[in-house]
Amino acid sequence: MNRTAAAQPHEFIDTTTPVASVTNLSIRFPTLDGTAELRAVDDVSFDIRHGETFGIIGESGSGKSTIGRVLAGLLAPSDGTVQFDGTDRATLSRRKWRSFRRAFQMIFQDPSAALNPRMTILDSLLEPMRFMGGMDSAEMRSRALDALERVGLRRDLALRYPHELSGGQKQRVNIARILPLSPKLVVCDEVVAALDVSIRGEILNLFVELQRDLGLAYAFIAHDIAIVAQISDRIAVTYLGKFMELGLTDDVIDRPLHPYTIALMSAEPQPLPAHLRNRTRLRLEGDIPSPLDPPGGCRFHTRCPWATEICRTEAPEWRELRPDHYTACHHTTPDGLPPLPDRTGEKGAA
Amino acid sequence: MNDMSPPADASATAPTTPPRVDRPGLPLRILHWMIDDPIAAIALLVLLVIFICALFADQIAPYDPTLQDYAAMLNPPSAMHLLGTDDLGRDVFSRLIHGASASVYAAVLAVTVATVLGVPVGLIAGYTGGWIDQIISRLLDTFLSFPAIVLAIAVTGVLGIGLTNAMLSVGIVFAPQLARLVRARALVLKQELYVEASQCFGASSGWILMRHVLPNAIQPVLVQMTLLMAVGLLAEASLSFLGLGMQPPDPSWGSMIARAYVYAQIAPAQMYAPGIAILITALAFNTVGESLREALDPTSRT
Repeated sequence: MNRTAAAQPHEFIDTTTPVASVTNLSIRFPTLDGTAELRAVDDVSFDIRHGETFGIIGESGSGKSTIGRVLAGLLAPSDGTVQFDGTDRATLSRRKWRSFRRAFQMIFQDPSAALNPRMTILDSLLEPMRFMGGMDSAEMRSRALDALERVGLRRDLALRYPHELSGGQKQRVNIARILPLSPKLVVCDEVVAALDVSIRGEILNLFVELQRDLGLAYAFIAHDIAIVAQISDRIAVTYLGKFMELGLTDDVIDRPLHPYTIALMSAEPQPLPAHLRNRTRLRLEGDIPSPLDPPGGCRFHTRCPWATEICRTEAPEWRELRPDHYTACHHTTPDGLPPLPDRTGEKGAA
Repeated sequence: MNDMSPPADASATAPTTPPRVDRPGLPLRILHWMIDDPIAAIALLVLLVIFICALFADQIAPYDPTLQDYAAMLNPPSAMHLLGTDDLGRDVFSRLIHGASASVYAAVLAVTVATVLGVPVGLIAGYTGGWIDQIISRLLDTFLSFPAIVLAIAVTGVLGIGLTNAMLSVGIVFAPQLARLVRARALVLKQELYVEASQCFGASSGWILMRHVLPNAIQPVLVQMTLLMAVGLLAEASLSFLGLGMQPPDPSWGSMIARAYVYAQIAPAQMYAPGIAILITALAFNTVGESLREALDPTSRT
């Protein structure tokens, strides 16, 4: 559970090329009537390094899950490029891509929906191996049962159907399924959100263990900053399809540069570590604006207590303010945000 | 379920017991099912009897179904003629037995044709989407906008009169219903997370269609198929009644009703035997279909 354990990339893994490299990614969906476009993701760039856990946090509608689907190859960019382990999907034939993409897997929020209700657990476990080739059925079966044990489940669950398992067990099965594929990057989209609080810790531990043993990288997507901070090496904060801030976890948590990051941490209901208490708390008013018609200038200006004229008119630049710590805000400095001016006091900042 | 409830994830900590290798054998599972669902078992038995009648009509029927006896026309049931005789003095019971083979053949043929045509078309339309779906859907709408029996008559007109051609055309008329049903299911199912997971594993579209979409779409199709069996029986009756299906003197349940209709004023009882036979068979198909639907759904298993 501690992040320094996960921070060390696996010794056998090439760390020179990022496992996923996203450049100027935009994703747009046409609305049903075709008259408008929803900009789910707008001009986002980042790299995920081999063996690291890259946390992505944001409210619902922030585009974090869309980014996850792009990283798992389920969605093609509308604009920009995504390189999977240095390779652009467009350069691969359909057949090559089908075998190439096995290294990029996804675990979903709803563990039940990710399993075909008509297939036994064993069949679900065997499915990914059927596309790999070079294994007879006895070998596939034994690897499937090994994987089941590896994630801490009894082998005899293999003949059950998904509805006979608990949510936590199903999520373990989902994890076990991808193990024989030796994934390099696993997108974890709200993987514990649907689980009982008592089971979340165990599942998170399992993720950490697997990373330590197999050297895989995670794109860990959640709305819960405490969970993301616990497991991630770096954190990206999303808002309305854009990155607000990106940096090493400790740096972002201890010295946030963006007002939205501060607001997210203030909204955290769970007890935070001591050093986080008694500091600027910021309560946001209003809802996240519609991604169909995002505000001009800085996306966050409609809810930001620091906002001034420039924020309404000009989009802030994505800058590296501290080493490996990026943000997009007109007002922030490498030492953080200036104290709030009085005029915004009534907006809810203290 | 009990062994794993209270600490919801308890089994996670208890590894290795040797895996239970087999599920109970098929005969045992059928026995369980019959005990669980006796009405469906009876319905299945009824269908079995009808199929046996259809297959061994020559051995079971006491008389030649086309043998006319002008001395005994429109006779009521008697020891000699269990269900009486018709307007030409033919034994109704024998005609009923022989009619079963025509009717069952007709219904099975129609539904088979409908399934073979409709299911793949629906799968492709729903799963592919886009302009392919648009074109297929408009074509299906066109077919569905015609009254079924009128369309069947038109198709029979093109193919030629006769039971087989009539039921082929009924199958073609039924196909859009199944295609629509499957399309609607495929549209929903292709968005399921297990389909996306399968894509991540590198599955081809064919694999996803056959292993994920079809098995999960088939449930309403099976129910619809059994319903269509019943409608097919009635369609055979209608087309034979209109003279497009079974040709005299060979019997089918539909043509028997058609014949009885002419004499409804004099001998209304003539309609009972084929009418009740159609009713019971249709009902049995429906009941078995409903039970099949439940049996195929693993979430309803205990």
